[in-house]
Amino acid sequence: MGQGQRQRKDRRWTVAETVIEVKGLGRTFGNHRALDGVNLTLERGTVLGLVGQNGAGKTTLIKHLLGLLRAEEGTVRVFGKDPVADPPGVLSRIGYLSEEGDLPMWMKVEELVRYSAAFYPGWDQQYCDTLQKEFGLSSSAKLGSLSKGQRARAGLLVALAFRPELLLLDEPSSGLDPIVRRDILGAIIRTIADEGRTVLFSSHLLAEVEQVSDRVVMVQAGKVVLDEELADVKETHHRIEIAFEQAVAAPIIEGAFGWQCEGNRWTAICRADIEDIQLAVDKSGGRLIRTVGVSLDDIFMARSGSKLG
Amino acid sequence: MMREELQSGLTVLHLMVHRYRKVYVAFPLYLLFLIVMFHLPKRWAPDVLLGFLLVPFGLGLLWTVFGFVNADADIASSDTAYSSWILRLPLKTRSLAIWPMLAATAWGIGSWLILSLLCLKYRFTDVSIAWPALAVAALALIFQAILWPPVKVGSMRMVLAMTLPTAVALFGTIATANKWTAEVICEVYAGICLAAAGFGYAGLVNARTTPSRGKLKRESVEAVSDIAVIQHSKKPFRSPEAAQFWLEWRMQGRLLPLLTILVLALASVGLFFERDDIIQVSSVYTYVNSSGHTIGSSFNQNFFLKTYLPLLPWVPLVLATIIGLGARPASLRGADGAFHLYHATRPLSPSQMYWAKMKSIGAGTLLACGATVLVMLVWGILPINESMVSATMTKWGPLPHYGRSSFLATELTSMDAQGTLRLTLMLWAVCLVTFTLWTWRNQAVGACMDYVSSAKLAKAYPLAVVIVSASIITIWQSSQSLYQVPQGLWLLCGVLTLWIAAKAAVAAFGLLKLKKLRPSESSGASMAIAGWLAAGSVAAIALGVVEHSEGEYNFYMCLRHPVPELLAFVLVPVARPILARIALETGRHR
Repeated sequence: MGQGQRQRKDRRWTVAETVIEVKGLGRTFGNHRALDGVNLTLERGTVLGLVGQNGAGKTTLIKHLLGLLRAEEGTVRVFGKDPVADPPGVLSRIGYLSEEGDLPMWMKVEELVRYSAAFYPGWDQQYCDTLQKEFGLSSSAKLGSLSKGQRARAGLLVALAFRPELLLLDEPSSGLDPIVRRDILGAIIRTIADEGRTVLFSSHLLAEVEQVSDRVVMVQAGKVVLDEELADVKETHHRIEIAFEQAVAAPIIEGAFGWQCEGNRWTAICRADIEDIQLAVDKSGGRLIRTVGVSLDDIFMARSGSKLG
Repeated sequence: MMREELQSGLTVLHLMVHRYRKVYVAFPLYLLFLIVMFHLPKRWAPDVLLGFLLVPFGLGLLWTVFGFVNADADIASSDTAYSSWILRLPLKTRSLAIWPMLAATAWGIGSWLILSLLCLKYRFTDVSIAWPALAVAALALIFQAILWPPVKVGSMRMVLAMTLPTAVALFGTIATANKWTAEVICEVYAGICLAAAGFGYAGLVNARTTPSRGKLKRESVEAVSDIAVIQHSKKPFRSPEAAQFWLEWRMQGRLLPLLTILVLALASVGLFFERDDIIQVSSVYTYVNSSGHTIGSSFNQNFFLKTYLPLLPWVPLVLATIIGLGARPASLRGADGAFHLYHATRPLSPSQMYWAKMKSIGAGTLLACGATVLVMLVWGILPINESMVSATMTKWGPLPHYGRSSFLATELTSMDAQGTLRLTLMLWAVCLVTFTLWTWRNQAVGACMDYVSSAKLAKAYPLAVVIVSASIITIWQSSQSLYQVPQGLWLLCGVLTLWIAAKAAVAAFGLLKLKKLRPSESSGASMAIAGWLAAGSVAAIALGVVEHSEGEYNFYMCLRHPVPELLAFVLVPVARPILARIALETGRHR
């Protein structure tokens, strides 16, 4: 169990306050259906890992939460407000860091801090200085002259220094070295440690998601295909291996997906109780050789149709 | 060997222009069309029409020649503007440099020769052939020399790209006006071509052999990255609006005053060489004596000041127009049109973002115009030789006394003697206010291109404005006879009324659209329309008064009432500011 989860478990909230509420969200770009009837609710204090393949719709969803995209279908509410209708009211409470960074490269770190600080009433300059020292960012350094990792740290610095109520991270550690990734994870853990902070964390690096998230949402082709507590996901998903007397077509077992065949043996990821799986296997005429626990990575690979490891 | 070299050259050229290949087909077709039109009888193709058809030539030539520099170059960047992936191809630097240089110069010279020899010569006898051809070649090579080498400061390259080609282009015209022979002008241009080619080649060698400046800086920063220095050298901003104003000031506002000061400084250099360049102005004071003879007097004036001082107020205006057309990176969006995520996620309303830009433009305009007035005053009070300092009225007429005095003192004395001092000073004051407002307007209307999220539209906008403006000027210049007959008045009234109707329709459409997108801020658009009506009314009254006082001296019949009043509503902006607000809304919240 990750550090984030442990801290989360320690402070289960009695009264759940909704931070994000997305209902029936749909979005089309040309002929491409980027989001299709997405429903998502996120309560205060939750760390949500948003996973999915490239082009699955993760960034589109996050952009809707930031008000950068208008909802074509459905509704989006963040802190109970429409982020398009009230950008200052919503954005002043969100810390955002994206893969692209997109910081103004002509600014110095000092200028970035000074400029960013103006927008957030809760800006904590002491905390900002601490983070800046920790990240090794010189005030006089120009953002354009920093390496990708340092720029990510600068982005993280201004996203965290006002202790945001909601931290939105869109593939923040993509393409970065392990040390910067550790800093980003550390930041998430610190944010979690702050009472009542909420994190939505989109990443390809599923090990990281497992480490810090307590809930996982998997998006595929614009649809939410999985939305569960991480512990439940790991508890209910199994890798099954079934043997048959002779080569047959993939057996029909409810909750199984990502079937792969090798000779007369079939493997899949199955979301069901062991007893139910056993019954279904018996019914199909096969023999259940083994069931093992799976990682988030295995589930992701199976959902996306890739070969299981 | 030669064949390989030729193959390499053709590869480089193909890669450079392939993306815009349609333009390279369209431009020769356009030239062919011009040849046909110029060979038609005058009754089928009058001069007005031909003048109109010539408008796209300059733009097409510039665009196609620029393709051999790099059509997608970022002028503001400090890295080389040579296409980086072509630069990495396993080709000799010689091939990468010489072939685009040859192609650009051949294309430019060839286009001009076709136009001048096969078109212009058929209608106009006084057409220079050689030096304009060399001027085009020099421009192409100068653009390559400016854009290919990596530079220390990106904005320095931008300043060079805005000033140096303009100076080179103007040189031929100024030299001709000063009666330089075509041979000498050609020699100067040939020299510029050689120098620019040398710089361009050296720049490309530099671009190929040194890493990008960004990378160099990165390495030096990485080396000391373990020493984090926390500095708070400046006070925090008092409000989000103040912070946004600072951002806009850094991105756009300060550009105009900086460029204006640079151009004014360069222009002032000439004054030091031309302080004694005097001309004799004849018949300034004339009167009829008792014998019935007209007596005139003459006095000396400084040619440089007399010619260039009235041009100074145009400096910020012209620069503001260029900046307003988008000759600099937009502050909120990238070249691809997408809004920068960092800027788009600032907790500001679109209105706050918009007004921060307008205020920064306003501050920049005031500074630029203030600097211009200051330089004009300095020019005016600098003592120059052989000015008339006083005049004594004798029975033969006024007798001027010469000495060392300031140009301004001479002018004021002259005006006082003629009784036009008050009127002239008032006229100057009105002109300065008008120029300041016009300068702000030209940047403000261009600001909408900062927000528009379509890269194609952003690129097409300057082209459209230049074509429309050039078309208007061409039609105006070519139709002087029409404007001097009473019917011209009604023609112009009709055109202006249609124009105002179109502006009003666009503004009304914008108002409805904004009301739909952001109901809470639609009052801003209503205010814009009300402001347009108010400012338009004030301008209409002002122009009406000018027309009334100058009525009988009007050169054009068609400039009589109600044309000035209608023109005021055409010039005062309303549609583009509202469209800018919508572009910001739709670009930030797509």
